[in-house]
Amino acid sequence: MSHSGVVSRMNRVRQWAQFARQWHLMDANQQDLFKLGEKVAIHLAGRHKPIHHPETDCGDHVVVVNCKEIAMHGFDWKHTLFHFDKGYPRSKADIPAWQLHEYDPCRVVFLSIYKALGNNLLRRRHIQRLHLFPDGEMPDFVEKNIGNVMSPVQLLVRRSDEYTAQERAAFPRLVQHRPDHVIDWERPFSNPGRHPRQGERPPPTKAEAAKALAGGKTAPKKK
Amino acid sequence: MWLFHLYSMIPSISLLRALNPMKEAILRLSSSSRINAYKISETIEGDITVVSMETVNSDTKIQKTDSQCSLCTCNIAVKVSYKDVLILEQFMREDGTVLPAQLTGLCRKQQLHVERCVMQAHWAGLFPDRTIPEFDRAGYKRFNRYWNDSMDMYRLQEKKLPGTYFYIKRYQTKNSRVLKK
Repeated sequence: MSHSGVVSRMNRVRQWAQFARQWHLMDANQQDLFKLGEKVAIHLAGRHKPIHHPETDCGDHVVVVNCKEIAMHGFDWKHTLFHFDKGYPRSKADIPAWQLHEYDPCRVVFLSIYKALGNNLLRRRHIQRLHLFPDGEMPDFVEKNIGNVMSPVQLLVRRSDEYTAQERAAFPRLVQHRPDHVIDWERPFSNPGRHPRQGERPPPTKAEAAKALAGGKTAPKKK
Repeated sequence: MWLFHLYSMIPSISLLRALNPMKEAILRLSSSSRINAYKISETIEGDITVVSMETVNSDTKIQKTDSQCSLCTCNIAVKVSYKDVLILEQFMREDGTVLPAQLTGLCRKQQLHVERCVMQAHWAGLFPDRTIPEFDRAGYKRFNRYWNDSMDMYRLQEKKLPGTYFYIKRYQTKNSRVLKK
């Protein structure tokens, strides 16, 4: 463990901990589904330990919280289909990931971790040490067991309302205005719609449309 | 002695040369020559409405260099992405739409890049206070997503993954109850 040959007390305890079942905490907030699955699967199978051997049962417990906040790349929530097949006629179903996630916020996380554990006979035993929670709440006994917080697989992105006014003021301005810039040009405006073709009447404005509607209503009265 | 001095100087000179464009960029960002902007103000005096252009001291401190846009001339290694919310909101209106290139002063390439990034930021829900109220967040658009670069939305492909009915449901979730014996 150490180059000097003298094992420090810290490293000695760390080595002892390898032989015990450790409990790791993973926050799934804004993490990619499949990257998180790979990382958690390594810890479930004990592949992060130097003492690892497939026949050594050295896997750890992993607690994944905030499963409902998990992220996917781009439009993958729609374009990733999970294929379910019971092997009976008319039992095949392709379900998009977002529908599974909507029904049970832990299900897609389970599927990605189960897939990352590999296709072998051990994965059923490894995945029994997985604890999934849709949000931050968990039972007391789980919370007491946790001894390590795993580093995130992706950096968290801050929303615009999470920046303070100070940070905003300290940030450099990049926009270069023209010398005759008018601030009112930056005001939002409604969609002007399509430009009318040649010889075509422009679409009626709101006031005109309301007038025409009122006229249509009053027409039967005149009769 | 003299030679030794010379050799010790050389790396520092080359370093300075490398730093020079960066220094210029920083100077350009922080040079304090203020530009005046104008604001339209209407005052009604009896029957007469007076429309005048008022001079406003804008908080932009930089001058536009000819034929180069502010993101291209920025020699600091900045590749604007959807995560850079504080940069993107400088190019946006109140309602979350992007200002035209005539107002942002960007070149065509950077303008399109910024427009794509702003759209990605909207899709990722990074501008909750700067969207129109009818922005579509139904179905799959509710959930978190991220982007690797600004052209990601044009690379679409459908993936089919094997799913399993095997599922260990230890703890109660929203729609399902743990079976108790």
